[in-house]
Parts: sequence; C-alpha cells; structure tokens
Amino acid sequence: MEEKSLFSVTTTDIAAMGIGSALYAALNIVFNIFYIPLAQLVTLRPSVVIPMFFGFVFGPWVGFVTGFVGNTISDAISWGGFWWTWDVGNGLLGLVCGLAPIFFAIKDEELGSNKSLVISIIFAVLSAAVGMGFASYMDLALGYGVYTFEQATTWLFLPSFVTDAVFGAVLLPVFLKAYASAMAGRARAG
Amino acid sequence: MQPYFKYFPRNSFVHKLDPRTKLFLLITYIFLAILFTDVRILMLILISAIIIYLAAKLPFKENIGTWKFLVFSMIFLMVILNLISPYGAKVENPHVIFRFLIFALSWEGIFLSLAAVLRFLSGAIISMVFIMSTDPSLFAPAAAGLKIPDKGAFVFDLALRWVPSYVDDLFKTINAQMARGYKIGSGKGIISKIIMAVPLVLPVTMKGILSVHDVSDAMELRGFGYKKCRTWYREVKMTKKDYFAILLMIITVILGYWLKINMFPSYWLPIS
Repeated sequence: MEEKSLFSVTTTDIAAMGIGSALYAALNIVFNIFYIPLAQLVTLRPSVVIPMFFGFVFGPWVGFVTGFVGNTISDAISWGGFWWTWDVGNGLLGLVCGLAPIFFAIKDEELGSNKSLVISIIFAVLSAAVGMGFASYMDLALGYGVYTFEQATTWLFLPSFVTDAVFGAVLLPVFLKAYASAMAGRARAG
Repeated sequence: MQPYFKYFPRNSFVHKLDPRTKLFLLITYIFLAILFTDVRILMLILISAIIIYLAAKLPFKENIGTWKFLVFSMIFLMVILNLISPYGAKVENPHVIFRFLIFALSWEGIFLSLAAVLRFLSGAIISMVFIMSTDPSLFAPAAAGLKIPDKGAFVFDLALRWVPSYVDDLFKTINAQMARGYKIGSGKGIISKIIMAVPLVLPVTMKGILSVHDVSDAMELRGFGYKKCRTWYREVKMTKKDYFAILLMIITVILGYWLKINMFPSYWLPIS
C-alpha cells in the first residue's frame, strides 16, 4: 500500500467519502421519520456517530466530507433546503475525530485497543464542542435567528452539543470495537 | 433516487436555469439577508424569495410539512428569543413595552427577532427553490462545472446513488430486529436508549464500511483517477438567460450594498 500523506486523496478515500455521506444521509432521513415517538431529547440523532467513525477510521478529510455532504443531502431530502453553517459544523465532527489517530499515532490494527477507545471518547466530546460550537456561534455572528451570546448558547449550542457529545461518546467506541473485530476476520489490511 | 428527493419537475424559467446560476442566487440571498437588519428591506427580500418560489411553480400542498415546520419553528424562535434575553437583544435604552418579573418586552426585541426570522426564512425558501427545481442527477455535473476537482464531484454522485439503497437496508434492518422482539423506543434512561440504537445502526454501518475497500477496488480496476478529466452523462450549459440572471444578481448586490451604507445602516422601529 502506498504511503499516505495528510493531503493526498486515494481512491479508497473517495469510496469512503461517498459511502459515508450516503450512510449519514440515510440514517438522518430514517431517524427523522422513526424517532418521533421517543423524541424526549430535542434532536435525537444516533447518526452523528457516522462522521466521527469515518473520520476516525479513514482520516480527517473523509470525516469532514462525510459530515458535510451527508448533512446537506439529508436536509435536502427531509425538508427540501439546507443550511450551510450546520453542514460545516457536522463536517467538523468528522474532521476533529479524524485528527485523533494522527496525533496519537494510532495504527489501523490498533483501532480496537483500549487506548484508542479512550481517545475516541475524548475526541467525540471535543468534536461535538467544536462542530456544534462553530455552527451555533457562526449563526450568532451572521445573525441567523440569534443575537446575543446567551441566546446562541442556550438555544443552539447546549442542546446540540450535549446530545451529539453523549451519542458520540457512547456509540463511537462501540462502533470502533465492532469494526476492529470485523476487520480482524478479513485477510487484507487497510 | 427520484422518489426520495423533493424534486418537482415543472416547465418554468427557474427550472431552465443552470444549477450553478441557482447556487449563485442562493449565495446572493444569503449575502443580502446578512447585510440588512432593517425589517422593511428584509420583508422585501422575503417577498421576492416567495415570488421566485411561485414563479418556479413549486407546490405548497405537497410541501405543506416543510412550510408548517418553518413557520412554527420561526414563531417559537421569536418567542424564545424574547424570553431568554430580557429585551430580545442587547441594545442601549430599549423602548420597553411592559415588564413581568425578569421578562421584559421591548420594541427593539420584537423587531430584531423579526429581522432574524425574516433573514432565516428568505435563505431557507431560496434553498428550497434550489433543491426542488433542480434535477438531482445534475448536481454532480454542476459541481464539476464549478471547477471542483472531478474526484470531489464524483463523491457527490456516489453519495446520491447510495442513499436509497442504505435507506432500504435500514428499513430492512429495523423490520428484522422488530421481528426478533426489538421495540423501538424501549430502554430506560438516556444511556440505555442510546445503546438501543446500536442494533439498528451498527449492521448497516458495518456493511457499508466493509464495502469501502471493495468499491475502491472496483473503481481502480475501471481506471478511476488514471486520467485527470472525466466526462458526465448529463451536461450543464450556461445560456443567455443564465448570464442575464447573474448580471441582475450582481447589480442587486451592488445596489443592496449602496443602500446599506447610505440609507438603511441599522435596524428600524415604527416608533421614534
């Protein structure tokens, strides 16, 4: 396998971006329909784990495109429009999680190790803070519906950050563990 | 893909515009809406957005869910905004209408939150026009036409093609798990509710992520990325109408900027 640099995009990355975006969009669409009966939490979206997961496994760019394109498509299908600050925010979920394996030098074979699982929990929370923070405060900076810091924090940031962080922190390690054991059974690496 | 996408084929001049022109229209609207805080101008922007929606012959009836969602969330947002901050927004010497405990309603609060709502609505309506009047199969060629690298445009194409099959897979998984006694919405407490999502999400995700390598093999075997350029089955073409529309938008933006600087620099109140 060729040496992978941070900025080169391989065919595997392209395939991962396409499949990740489609998965994220599909999950959003289905949960928009299905999860209404138990919507005690404002936005119950277990799907936020997808950009984080794809970012963690395939790198920051794949994570970003997965979140960005996936969210754009699902918004376009679910309600026929889209909102760019939240698309970029969702992309940042994947981008930040994609940085974790680079900073901590986690190899593909170690994705299921305890070290990687702990790091994944931390980065899930961190990425939710960065991504939802960007979207909320960008809305504030441009005056989309909110004017003051308290409004942006209580109305936009806290609900989206808490749900995304909790979902990410619980689901990301589960998914990584499952992926690691699924890949271990396959002959090829990477 | 077609039954999933909210695409309404009509014979209107908006439909005949190039997707890139419509994207430019969206950017124009987002820019103009950010520019102004004056409710009168924002109202004009919103009305023009609704006129474009009507000119595209897009339906209200088939789309009633989205409109209900937009209007209700906007009313809700206005109320919430005025509740969270005492005056709806931070301004000096607000014209207070009445006070109740820590809540206070002011003219500034009402008109600033109205401005925020109008700004959001006009952008949302034009993004609806963009999505609903553009054939989904034109998105990827249009992205390529915007000089986005072919690989990037191809990602969009690939994603759009996979969405319906993953939606089907998900429904299959949900039905299969329900046949095994899975109950949607069961589980006590937040953590167990989240864990209950695993049997629905994990199988489809694993199937997808394990197929990444197979798909990339298949693409490489067909020589993907060997040549820099790629041709598309559907093509987008700019016509005279598109250039005229873009010219009109540029003039509007310049005019808007001039108006902002010289005539409507700040917000507007019906009282003085």
